[in-house]
Amino acid sequence: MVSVAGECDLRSRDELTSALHTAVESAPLVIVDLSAVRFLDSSGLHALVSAHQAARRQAGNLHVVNARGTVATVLEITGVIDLLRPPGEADGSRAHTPEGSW
Amino acid sequence: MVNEPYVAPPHSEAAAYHDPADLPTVRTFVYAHALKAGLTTERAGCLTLAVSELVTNTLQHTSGGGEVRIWTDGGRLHCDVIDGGPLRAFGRTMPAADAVGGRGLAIVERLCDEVRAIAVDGGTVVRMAFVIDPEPTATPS
Repeated sequence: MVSVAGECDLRSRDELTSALHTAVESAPLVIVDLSAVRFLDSSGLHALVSAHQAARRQAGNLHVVNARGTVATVLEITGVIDLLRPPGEADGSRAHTPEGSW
Repeated sequence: MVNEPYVAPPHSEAAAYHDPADLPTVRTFVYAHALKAGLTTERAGCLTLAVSELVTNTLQHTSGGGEVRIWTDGGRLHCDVIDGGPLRAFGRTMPAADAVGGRGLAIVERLCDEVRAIAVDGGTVVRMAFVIDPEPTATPS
């Protein structure tokens, strides 16, 4: 399990990409907990999908859980949630969220 | 083609950006003004995400920064993102789920009620609109 916190944008993309690639190299199954992520945009998706590809190349996998608010929205409208949802988890299982700050 | 000079909308609030360190400041600016204008927290978050994508697009694909302007008019919230980049094309297909990148502008399109790109002297304006608190409309039977 990898927990990500804060804002996943252009500023943190390279660091997030590096951390996720390290995780998929050290374990066949990586679950990324997004519950503490306040913001995630296409830069964050870039890091997640890139690490997912790396995991699949090694016959492993990477999934995300606990997306909330606009983090869940961006995963849904891009279809990336269909790639990263853990097997068996129902559609529309976004975590309940109050509001976020930036 | 003759481009029009950019005329700032009257009564708009502005925030300039120059590098990635400005991203949180721009997001806070947009979110606060969207809430003040009457958008729900969810839709204010959508506008904030759209603006963040456009600012990121400027910072990745042009050599300079830009400016965000936000204002209300007739029950709608409008937001301009102005930069020195080329005219952006909308009407985009969302990349496949397993594509690593290329989603920024497609995300913007799906979040806004309206979006269009306007060529101006020295660059481009991406103009977005959100209807403020749309009421459910009765469906004729």
